[in-house]
Amino acid sequence: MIAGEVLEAPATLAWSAARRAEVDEALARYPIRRSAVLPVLWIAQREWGWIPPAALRLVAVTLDLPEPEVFGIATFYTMFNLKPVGRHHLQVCMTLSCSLMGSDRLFRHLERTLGIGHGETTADGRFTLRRVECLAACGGGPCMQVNFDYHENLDEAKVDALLAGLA
Amino acid sequence: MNANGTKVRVTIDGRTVEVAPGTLVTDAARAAEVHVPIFCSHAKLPPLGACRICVVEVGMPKLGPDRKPVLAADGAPEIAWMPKVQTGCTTPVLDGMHVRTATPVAVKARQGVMEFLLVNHPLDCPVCDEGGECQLQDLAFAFGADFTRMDEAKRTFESEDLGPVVKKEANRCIICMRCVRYCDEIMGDDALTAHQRGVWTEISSFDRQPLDCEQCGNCVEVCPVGALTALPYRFKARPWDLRQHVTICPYCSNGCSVRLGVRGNEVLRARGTEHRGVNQEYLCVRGRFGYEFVNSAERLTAPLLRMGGAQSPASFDEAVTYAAARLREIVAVHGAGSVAFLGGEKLNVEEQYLFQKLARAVIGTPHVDARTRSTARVPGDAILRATGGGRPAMSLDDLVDAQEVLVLGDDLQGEAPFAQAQLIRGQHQRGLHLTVANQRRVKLARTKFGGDWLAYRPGSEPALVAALARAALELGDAAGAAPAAPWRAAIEGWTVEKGAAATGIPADAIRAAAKRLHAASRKAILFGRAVAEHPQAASLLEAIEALGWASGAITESRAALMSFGPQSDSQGALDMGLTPDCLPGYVPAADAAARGRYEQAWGRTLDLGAGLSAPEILAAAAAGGIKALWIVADDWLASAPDRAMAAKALASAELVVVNELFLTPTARAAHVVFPASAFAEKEGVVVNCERRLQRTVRALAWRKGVKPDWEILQAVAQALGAAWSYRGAEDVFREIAKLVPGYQGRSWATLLPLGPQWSFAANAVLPERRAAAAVAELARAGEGLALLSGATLFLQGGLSHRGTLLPKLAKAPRAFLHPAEAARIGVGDGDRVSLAAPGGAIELDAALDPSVPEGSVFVPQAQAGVELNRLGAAGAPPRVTARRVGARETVGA
Ligand code: SF4
Ligand code: SF4
Ligand code: SF4
Ligand code: FES
Ligand code: FES
Repeated sequence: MIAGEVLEAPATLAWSAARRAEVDEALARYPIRRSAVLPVLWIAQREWGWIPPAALRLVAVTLDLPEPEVFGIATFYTMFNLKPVGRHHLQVCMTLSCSLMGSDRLFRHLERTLGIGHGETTADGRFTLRRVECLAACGGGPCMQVNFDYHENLDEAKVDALLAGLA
Repeated sequence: MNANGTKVRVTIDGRTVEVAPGTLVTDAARAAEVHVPIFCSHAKLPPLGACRICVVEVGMPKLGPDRKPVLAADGAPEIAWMPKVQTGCTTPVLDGMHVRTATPVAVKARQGVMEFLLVNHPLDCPVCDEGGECQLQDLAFAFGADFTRMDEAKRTFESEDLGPVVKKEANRCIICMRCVRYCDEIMGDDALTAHQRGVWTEISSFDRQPLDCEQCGNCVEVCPVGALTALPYRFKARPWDLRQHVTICPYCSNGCSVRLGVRGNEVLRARGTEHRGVNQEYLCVRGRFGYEFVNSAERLTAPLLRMGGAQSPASFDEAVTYAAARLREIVAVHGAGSVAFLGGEKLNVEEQYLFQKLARAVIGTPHVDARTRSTARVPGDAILRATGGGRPAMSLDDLVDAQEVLVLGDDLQGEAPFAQAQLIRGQHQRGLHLTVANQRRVKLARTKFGGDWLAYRPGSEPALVAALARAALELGDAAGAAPAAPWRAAIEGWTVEKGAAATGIPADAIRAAAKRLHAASRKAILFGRAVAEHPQAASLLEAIEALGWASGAITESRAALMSFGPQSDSQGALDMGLTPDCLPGYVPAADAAARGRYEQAWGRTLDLGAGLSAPEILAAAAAGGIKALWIVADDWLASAPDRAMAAKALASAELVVVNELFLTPTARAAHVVFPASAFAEKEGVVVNCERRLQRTVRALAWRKGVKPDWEILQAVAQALGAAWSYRGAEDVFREIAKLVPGYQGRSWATLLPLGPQWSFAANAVLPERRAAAAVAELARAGEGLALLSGATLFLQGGLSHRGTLLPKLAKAPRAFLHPAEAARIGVGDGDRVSLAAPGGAIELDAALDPSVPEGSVFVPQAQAGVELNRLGAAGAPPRVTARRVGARETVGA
């Protein structure tokens, strides 16, 4: 996932040539078109940073699937962003190991520092904050994923330093 | 295994029943009359096992080392019970299986399921429309605990209106997925889906937008709780305050059973019927929400008489006396042949029978025709011959199991919504293959239904059918297709290639379609108004008969063709002889020997001369040759093929009598208007597209000033001196059951809950008749665009316009053009266009729609404000010139 620009939802979208090639490559991998729905949604999210309704429609048309079905699939998976996200998507693990190591405190600190809550984005479009379940880095709790990068053994000071370095 | 090998024995709570192998435990339990609760399981949907409420204990006889059952001391087999409970709705029975539903283990498991289902349920029954008929409420009462162990706050969702029909309260949802599956597998609309997951799972539409769907409300019907309720019925009544009456829907030839909920003398809702009718729970949007006209304040409540100038209210007796006196005078001066009887396809068969009896036996005129829309003379028995001549007919349920179905010319979405649902279900669940011959890419022709679409040139149906029949004959004769059979005359001179050239469909595609039809052992050929109202309907129907024989859809013993008439009782109208050439039961009016049965019963000669068909009556009346017209349940100005001609006919007739519910334009032109009862106000029999006789019942008390048509007809007959003394419609049916071939021996009592499909005895089916002539070639297309029309889903005839919901769903009438065609003639989306033919012109807003072929324009029928017959007889097939006459109206301008 590449955090994108905060976008207004566009009315229609189309694949760029490069993305279309990726979509075709994904389609070629499966005997049944429908099976490619997750990779194709993923391509859409990479392109636009999130998946606006127009992109869901585009995916439905591309795969010859009913639009509501694509919507249901996209909402099932928490890693598909159906709302715009900031440039830096802060995902704080709240599951057991991290929780024991103080992830609640860390999360509250982030809320206070950024002035936003779970699922919200700062007004300048810089940060989106989210609680997530186990990131499979339990040995380094509390941990947080920022876009594709992991940050482990965090405390308030480390988080402040980290945020300061993110434009 | 069981001795006969076809049934298995299963014992449920000590009751042993024999059921077909593969039967699910829940269904076997129903057969054993043991109650096993269900939520997610549904008779028309494959097992899912989502809700777990149907859990039971299941066991099989213990087998010894000799593979024989181990017997207990009392001689009964010992049962090995499975260690855990099983969901009955997903478990097929095996021979010798034992099931226990009421043991402590089963009951505790079910109580546990109930407790889970209620964890987040709001328990807001007092403000829930489902309250009183809610399965969750019932089962909570039966199995639920009377306290909760949960302290946590319940998760809550916002309530949502998913369009004008469906109200959603997701808090009440038990995630049984019935609504989603029904919409997908039976409606073919896939409009609903489950959002999110786990405890946050919520049923909704794409992006929570208003549902883009058929608005049938079947999702509401199958929802076992109050999560989905119907907005038009919201907070209107409590089920225990309603009287419920099951009668037959008046909106199409499928004849669905509807359960009307009545309070006082007002219909408050219509629902499906869970274990009854051809449709069971299914209703389309018209059946479910189209009842509003019955309650309308605009209904006629007193007869109207025009003596001289304006119409004024009169008493029933005055109206009867006046109509009878005028009829007597006209017959005396101009002869009985100056009187014509039109309409009647919406009446019950008893009324249809009396209508033609009044014409033939009392007045003595042969001019009777219910088919007011037809554009050419068609023999009264042509449809019966094309569907097998009275051989046992196929049923709507047979459609689901068919392997190959040819839908010829009509858009079933508007014409026969339930039949369409059966086909979609067959396609989805049983591998049915569709061949959809239609000029437009109608719903069934969409790629998602996996069928083949034959897009033929406008008007070339006869060529297509002739070519299909030829292609079927190339495959070798089907059983019964004798080399010298008379039906071959209908397709003489045709070849597959000639048909391909005329229709624009490749010969290969025609051969492939014929091959599929020929090869299938379970098949069907379906058609409707596109055939019956075709300018070459007579020869087209003969060609269909030929295709039936050539493809094996008609055999000596049965026929797999079905015709959808334009109205709910169009089949009855044909059966009852509302055609100029056939007496009731398809007795030829011209055959002196055959008609003897009626001459004897009615006490007069029926040597009335040749009768005129509806288009001939139209022409004769406009020319002044017909002096008196009696029109029942038909707004002739809207239904006649040429409106100007019909207006002239009405203006020049000396007497026009109309039976109607509303003051339609036709009724306004009448000298005598009799206010008539609506479908929910009278009883009788209607006949659907399966030729099934179905009882309609009276759900409402008599309305003041309004009478059922049979009473009106009888009163006038009596005033004319006829000795009619029917005490009720049932008396009329007794006479029908005595006299009319196909109906003999029937009685009202035998028609409930589901009547039989009538057919002639094997030795009495209509003999094959040599086709009058082979199908003619299509004239070369003239100038302009081909005018396509057809039924639409949301509106069907004048009654559907009298409510509020259906007209709102139908939106403003529009002319649909292919984007490329629109560009060619310089018309943009929403622009005003004029469609002109030599006979006249109409104006509409244009809408762009790629499902309409280029070179044509599609204007739906039955839309208020669209009077296609203002174009006059626009040619066969009709052509118009389209011209942009104004820009798109901007909102608020
Ligand atoms: S109203 Fe009918 S078509 Fe629409 S969502 Fe419900 S079941 Fe589907
Ligand atoms: S809305 Fe009703 S039918 Fe649909 S899943 Fe929920 S409970 Fe079942
Ligand atoms: S399918 Fe036909 S009979 Fe059934 S509810 Fe709809 S209009 Fe009525
Ligand atoms: S518990 Fe936080 S990464 Fe596993
Ligand atoms: S009814 Fe059997 S699991 Fe739902």
